[in-house]
Amino acid sequence: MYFRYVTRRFGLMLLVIILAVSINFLLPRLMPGDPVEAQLNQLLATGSGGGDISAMVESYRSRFGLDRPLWEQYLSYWGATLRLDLGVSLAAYPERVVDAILAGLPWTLGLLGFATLVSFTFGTLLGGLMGWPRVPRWLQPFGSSVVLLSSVPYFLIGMVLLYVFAIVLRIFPAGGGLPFGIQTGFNWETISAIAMHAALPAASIILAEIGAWALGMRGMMVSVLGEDYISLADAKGLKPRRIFFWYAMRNALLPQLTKLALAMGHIVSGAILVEVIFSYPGIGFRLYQAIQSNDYFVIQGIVLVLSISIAVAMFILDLIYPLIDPRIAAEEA
Amino acid sequence: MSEPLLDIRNLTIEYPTPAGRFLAVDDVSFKIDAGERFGLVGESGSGKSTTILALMRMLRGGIVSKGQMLLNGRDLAQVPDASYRSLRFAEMSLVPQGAMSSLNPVLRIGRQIDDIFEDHGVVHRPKDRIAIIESLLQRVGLPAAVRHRFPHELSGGMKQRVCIAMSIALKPSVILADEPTSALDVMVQKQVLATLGRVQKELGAAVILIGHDMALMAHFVSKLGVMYRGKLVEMGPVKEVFANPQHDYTKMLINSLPTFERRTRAAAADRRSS
Amino acid sequence: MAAMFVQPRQLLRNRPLSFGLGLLTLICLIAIIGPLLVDPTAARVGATIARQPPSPDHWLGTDGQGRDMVTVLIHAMPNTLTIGVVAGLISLTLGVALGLVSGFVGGMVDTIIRVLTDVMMTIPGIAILVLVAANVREMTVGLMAVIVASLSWMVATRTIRAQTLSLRERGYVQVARLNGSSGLKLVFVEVLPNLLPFIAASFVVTVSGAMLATIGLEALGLGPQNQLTLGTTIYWAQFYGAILRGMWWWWGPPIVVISIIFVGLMLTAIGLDSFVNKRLGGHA
Repeated sequence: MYFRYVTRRFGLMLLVIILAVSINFLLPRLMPGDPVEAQLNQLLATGSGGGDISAMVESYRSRFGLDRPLWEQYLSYWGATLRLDLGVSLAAYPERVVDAILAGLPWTLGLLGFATLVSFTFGTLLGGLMGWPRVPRWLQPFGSSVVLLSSVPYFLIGMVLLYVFAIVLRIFPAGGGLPFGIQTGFNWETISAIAMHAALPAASIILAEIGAWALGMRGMMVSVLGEDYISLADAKGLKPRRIFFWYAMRNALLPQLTKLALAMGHIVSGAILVEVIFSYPGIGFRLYQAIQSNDYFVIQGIVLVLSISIAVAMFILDLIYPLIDPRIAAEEA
Repeated sequence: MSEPLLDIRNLTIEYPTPAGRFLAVDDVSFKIDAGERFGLVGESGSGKSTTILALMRMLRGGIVSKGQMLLNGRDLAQVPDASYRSLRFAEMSLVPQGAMSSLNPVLRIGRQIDDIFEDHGVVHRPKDRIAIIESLLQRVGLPAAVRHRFPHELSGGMKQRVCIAMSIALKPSVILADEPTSALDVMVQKQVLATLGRVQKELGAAVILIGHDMALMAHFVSKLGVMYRGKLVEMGPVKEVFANPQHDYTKMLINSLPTFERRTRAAAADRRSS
Repeated sequence: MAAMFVQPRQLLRNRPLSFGLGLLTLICLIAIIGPLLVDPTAARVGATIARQPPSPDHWLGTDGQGRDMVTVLIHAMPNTLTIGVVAGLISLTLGVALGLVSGFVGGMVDTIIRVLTDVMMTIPGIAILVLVAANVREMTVGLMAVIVASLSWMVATRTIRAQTLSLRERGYVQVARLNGSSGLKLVFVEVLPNLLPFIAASFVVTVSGAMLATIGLEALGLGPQNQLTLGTTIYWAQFYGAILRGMWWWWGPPIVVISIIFVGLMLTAIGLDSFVNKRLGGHA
């Protein structure tokens, strides 16, 4: 049963990836005036790189040029993508798109991963407590303010934090991932520098996300509390703490995880803008720079990588889900 | 046995509503001796379940405005909230109505029996605990392997029996069975009720069986109480209630049974009480 | 016919709802009346001295290009709101239509729509939007609304589909069917009126999502080039390094206005949510 479930989910992920690659392929070709051609021409015109560039442009034209039938272009595109040949950065020539992405990926993963983990865990716990009958008085107003905070887009919170804590109070650095001229190595200095630079961006994401998780969890908790198994748990004379964690939270957690899967696109979007505000050297910031300089291949490459990573991440969550709710694999089969 | 195990005196339970106070249970009194089987029958909303919930102090919104509930002479209203938790399932246990949804979907059966012991401070060596859980399951006619299963892997009847097993884990003196067979097929109903009767007798515990099925009652209980709109309108040994119903409502309930059934049920009640 | 009638008094008693709607009404009023009261020329590049902090002449100071911030703000608000609302309406219509068809017709049609919705939800909207927006020569308010709408319809579809599925099995729908009501009539007379609370709730969510996407795109620099919007104001502030230069009056007020809009939307959504759940509870 688990096997059948996994194969179905895997199939869905493949579908998404195929769709993402296809959209990536079609979109520029559907737009009036092929930006790819325009970019290539512009490159040739500015003559940066000289002979190398013309060779690259020619090979590109012959592989993807508009003179070839669409389906041939499509297949070559797939071939190139599978070989991780996502093109070259036009603005930072001859840097390859793949390299640009790989440079920024760890930063984004670290920031996003950490911030999402923290906000999901604490937000869920907060929401669970907000829905539970006997909790301290101050929890509700505190929780509600956090929830309201989450309606504001991440990057706006980031801007305010940047201003207050980096410009006015000067506690944290104003941007970047590392201070200038630092000797990177696996030592305390490097780690603490990274932490300081990541603090404000992470805080922006956490502050903005935590309320959303809390709100969702509170709703789930309230509905779970109405279930029969909670009554029986009460009747069994179980300790309130056990009922809270093992009977209530555990059951309310399941839909919360699906929400995490569905919210990934949203979270990633928010993170991109946060990176921009803080000039944090991740993929989001790179995307921004690419948009600024019309670096077409980089934009395409990053968008593709983002779509695929999210599909993969959702698949991983799908795998975890049945381990938490034993009914899922049975239902889906 | 001079003092009754459970003594309910003039119990009145009210719910405050926008339209005034609603009396869910109105001046109800009955006594139950150790090991006795007491049936409480009536239609939905007659107050039967409310009475049980009050005994377990699990009323949501309702208040006991008058009367007393005495368990072994002890006034339950005087027991502080914190201590009530230890009382639940240890002295009085509950077999719930919808076993389908009364088991935690994400925990294995064994775990759900285990946590009763854990939270009531009963210490066992791990091996002994497992043996106890397995023997509990076997006593209700389930294979020991059920302790590894999740609720959704069991049938309705099996789930109900798990609930019965849980209810006798701490050897309570009273088992409150709230329509334990309503949601089950007829054949399964008989089996489950038989199981309940068997474990109850082995334990020497008293049972309050709540339901709306007179036929089922006649087979099982020795004393029968009829509730109508919050009031206890009739009470007595089951044979007498069937033979000489006093209240109109009781008569209606008995008359609603198909004739053949009625006679057989009365005969069965007759045989058992003699 | 089991149509649901709403008591205005009931709505007002719902605190989050009334507060949220209040905030939104305030914003809309400023957005509608404001432009009639201020001189649009003050919002043109080079209108006055640049980079001035707030003063009696310019209540919110001027930006890096010599525009009076109050005027900029007041003219940006209606544009941002328009994009959000129009995008919201388009997605809502699309979402409701798809959800209704999917839930009511069922079968293969339902499966196709459901898979499509799920797959589209997986793709990070911002990614596609960036791609599209980067390709567009001249971005306008209208075009932006359409682009954003194309990726905001999924939530509405899911919600409406779920509700349609449950309503389809309700007693009064079955009765109407037995009475010979045809499909279309059934939808409009029996199902749709009962979906109204969910449609309203979905509308708020859709508009929220659309506005978020819009402001995000604008802040990245992909917004309408020749029209003032709140997001593009922030973009220019960021571009000019206004945060680092401490020119809080440039980027601060747009943030406040955006926050008010989103808080208002969220409160309205929460209020509608509890309202919708109450009706469900009453109908159990």
